[in-house]
Amino acid sequence: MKKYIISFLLIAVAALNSYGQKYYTKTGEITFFSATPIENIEAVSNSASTVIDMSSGKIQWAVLIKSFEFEKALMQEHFNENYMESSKYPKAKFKGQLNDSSKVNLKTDGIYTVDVTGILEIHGIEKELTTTTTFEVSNGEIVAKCLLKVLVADFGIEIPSVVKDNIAKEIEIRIAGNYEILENL
Amino acid sequence: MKKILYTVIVLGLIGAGFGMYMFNKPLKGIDSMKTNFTLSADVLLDSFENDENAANEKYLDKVIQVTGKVTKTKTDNGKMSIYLETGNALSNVIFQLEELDSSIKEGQEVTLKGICTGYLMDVVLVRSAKV
Repeated sequence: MKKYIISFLLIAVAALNSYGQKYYTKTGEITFFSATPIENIEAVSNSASTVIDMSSGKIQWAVLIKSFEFEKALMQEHFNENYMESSKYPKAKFKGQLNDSSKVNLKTDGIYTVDVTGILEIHGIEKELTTTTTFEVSNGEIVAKCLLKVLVADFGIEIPSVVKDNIAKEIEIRIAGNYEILENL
Repeated sequence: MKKILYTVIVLGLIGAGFGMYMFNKPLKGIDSMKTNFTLSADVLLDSFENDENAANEKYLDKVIQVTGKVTKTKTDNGKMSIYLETGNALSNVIFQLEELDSSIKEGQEVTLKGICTGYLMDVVLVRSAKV
């Protein structure tokens, strides 16, 4: 009998530990900037999805290319139709691993900086990269931020020579997510 | 001769003006766009879950109108998102509104329309508004 109670307790403890280890948001913000002497171009999406599993340190992001909004309709059209071919490649994704997830405690206030290594997929092309992510936890609010720099050419995106001076070769991508605890999984 | 020159200049200016207008044209508001599909949140989500490629082909960039129950509203970075209920507890049809609309509350039945951008865990529509 005692044995059963002990195993029951062990299972309960294990369940409690894994409970609340997953965090997510469906309204992550991804902004990108192209800066050239001729013009600066900026676009933003506020509907990126991300899940992070603190027990394994796995993190995933995904965003729909068509959800990026530009100031000018024509820019958005060119971005979707000519450069990103968003009907053919509707999503960009990142699947990665926190290199030292034990350093991060999303249940305790603080600022945690951690390296993340993973695969970034844009325009159907995958590329491995390592970047630094900051988690800011205060009063139960969890904000993750990350800055990436990617080369347009690395992802097989062709920019016609007429506008090649208008679009930067290196694009800056800013990622921000306000994570909520995932209670139903 | 002078007349022709003036005509050419005037036409040139009109052309340049039109070009500038097209180049700087802002995004069109949803109200002025024709609705392509009117369906339920379940039908829309199901078509993406069953065959994402076919659903992309059919719905991407289209204006879709859905009536459904609001399970959640969330405002993040100044953008308000409305989550509509589906048969699947983990997936919703999410409308991201063009402008904040505090009249929309959890539990209400609403009719929204927006531009379909595709499927992640949810079907996501942007530049949306209440109908």
